[in-house]
Amino acid sequence: MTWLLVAIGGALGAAARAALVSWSKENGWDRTLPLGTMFVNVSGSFVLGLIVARGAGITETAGIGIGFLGAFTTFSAFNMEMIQKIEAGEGRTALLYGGGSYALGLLAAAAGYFLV
Amino acid sequence: MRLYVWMAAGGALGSLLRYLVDRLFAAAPGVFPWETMAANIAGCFLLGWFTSRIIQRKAWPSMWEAVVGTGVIGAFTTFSTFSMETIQLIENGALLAAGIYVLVSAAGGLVTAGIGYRAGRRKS
Repeated sequence: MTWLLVAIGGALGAAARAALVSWSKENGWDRTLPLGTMFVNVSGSFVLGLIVARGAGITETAGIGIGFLGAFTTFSAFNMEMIQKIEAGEGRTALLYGGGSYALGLLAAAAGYFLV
Repeated sequence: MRLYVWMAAGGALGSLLRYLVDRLFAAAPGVFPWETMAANIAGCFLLGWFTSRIIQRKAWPSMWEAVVGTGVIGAFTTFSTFSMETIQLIENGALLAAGIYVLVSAAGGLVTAGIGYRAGRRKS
């Protein structure tokens, strides 16, 4: 049962990320920084903080925490975008993107967990 | 629309693989979350290799690039769990472990993505 919840959540999370990132690209939000990926990672960290704080049961943890939010946020695309910035000679942009994502992602998780 | 259905299937598979790694290797709660770190770093290497070997060489139809790259590998790795685990280490007073977790994940992810990218670009 847990496996099924993870799979369903993961399917929805990945599709939602793909839709959001392509929307962001089409509307010119990704011109300097990959803001689409940054948004999913920061907002997903915030919502996971909320869920963990309220002592989620197994359904929420597996379906939303591990499945949906796990797949909605991504670490591999985030790092690959930094590599592509570095390859393009935009080291400073890569640093800003990486540093900004880590700082905001951790703050968002803490805010969801402690404040709300 | 069909693309999104397949991407969702890829996301389901990636999430299940991440969950499998978590089930197989999870340490006791509160201990260093190295299984998330391992999945994240491995996924970075895979996506690096996949980007230069498959996507940039247009080796596969573009739909399958998205299914595997965005779906499977994208969902296999996670940023939200990484953030939350770091906050929980800090809450438990394990500041050194939190610092090591962030630094090793960040450096490891970036370096392995770069190595994978270079490896995939080599002629063969």
